Amino acid sequence: MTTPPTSDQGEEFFETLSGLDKRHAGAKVMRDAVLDELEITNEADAASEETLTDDERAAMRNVKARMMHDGNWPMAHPSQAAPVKPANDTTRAGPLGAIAQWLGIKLHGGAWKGALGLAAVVVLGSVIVFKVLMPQTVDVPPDPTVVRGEQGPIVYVENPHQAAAAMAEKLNTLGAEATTVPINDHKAIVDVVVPAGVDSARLHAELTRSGFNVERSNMYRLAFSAAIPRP
Amino acid sequence: MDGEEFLRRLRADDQRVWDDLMPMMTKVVFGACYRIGITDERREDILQDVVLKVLTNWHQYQAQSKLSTWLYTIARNRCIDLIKQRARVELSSGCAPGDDDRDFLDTNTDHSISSPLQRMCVEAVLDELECQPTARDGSMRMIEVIRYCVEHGPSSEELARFLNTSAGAARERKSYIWKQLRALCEKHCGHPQCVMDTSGA
Repeated sequence: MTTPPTSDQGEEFFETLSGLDKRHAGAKVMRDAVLDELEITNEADAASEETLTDDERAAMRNVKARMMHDGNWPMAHPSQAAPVKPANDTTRAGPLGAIAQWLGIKLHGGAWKGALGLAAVVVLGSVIVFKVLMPQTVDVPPDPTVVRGEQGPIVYVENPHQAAAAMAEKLNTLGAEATTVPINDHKAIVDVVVPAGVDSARLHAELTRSGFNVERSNMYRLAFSAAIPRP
Repeated sequence: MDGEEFLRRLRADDQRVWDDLMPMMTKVVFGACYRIGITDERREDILQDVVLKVLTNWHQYQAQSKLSTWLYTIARNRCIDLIKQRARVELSSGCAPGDDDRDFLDTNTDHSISSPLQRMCVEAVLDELECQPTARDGSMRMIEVIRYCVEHGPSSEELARFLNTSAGAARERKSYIWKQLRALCEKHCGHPQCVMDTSGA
């Protein structure tokens, strides 16, 4: 490292880098590094769950489960998946346009939009005033027997960990990606992702059969608990 | 999934993209770990770190490079951090650097690269070239030339055509890249048996 490089050394380095020579140890290390990176990224480009090794798949599921448990995994409810509006889509109407279409009015000039906007504001204002002045009893009181929580449906069993593991195994055989996450001694959850192409009807039937009365979705969080719910 | 699709789906708030990206991230992280010599359960921690980093910094990705290359850079940096962390601990505890890295790095993996320190150095040099804020374009061009040489094994004339220059200028360019690599390597390790050292194979 102390002697200045000569151009011959540079040439030698590049020859090794090009695989034409094996004299320069340093260039060989760099060549290996670049080739390894190429190999890894090319393999990753074609990666899918099926191409992962068992180790990799297990690690991936563990990490996902850990992150879900910590609240770091972005969970999207299917209903949140809004369709993408094309940038050049001129056929879709805005709010005013939609009202106009509903009223059967053809908007060709800006004056109509102004008048319609004013009308919309008046209607909106009336609704707000009506809502404020109405007595609170109009709202339906919450049902005190409904237990609310973020975990989703809970099934109470004798051995929650065993039940969660059995459920995960059952769902995995049906093609889902089910991961068991132990919460504590008395509770375990199963996070389920249903990949595209999986027969979700069979999966949903299995869930219903096991006591999870859930809506059909491509993502579930199921909880098993040993505690007996209070009436 | 390519970079454009990744960004398009995220901008459309399609959070399912993360599920689809997980196999690619796993492959990249496990590949990077294997190269560096990490083959135990720490790979899962690194995978989680990388996923978190990508989740919070995806907007920094501009789709100018392959998505897998960008992920690989993040994974490699994380691995290097881990090695440096370990090296610092060893130094502060009085261990000679390089002597004990065999305890940390699995030497049973089938690497053509012999020394973990050399691996670390070359990873750091490539990383530096990719991340240099100043003269970034020139640095990226250097990486392009290196990759072209590795992938195609060109003669000087072929390299000159790739660089769109004369054979003499290509030779000068090679010499310049070689000096830059040496300087970066010296900066990163300064080890007597440095990666860029001319000692024979």
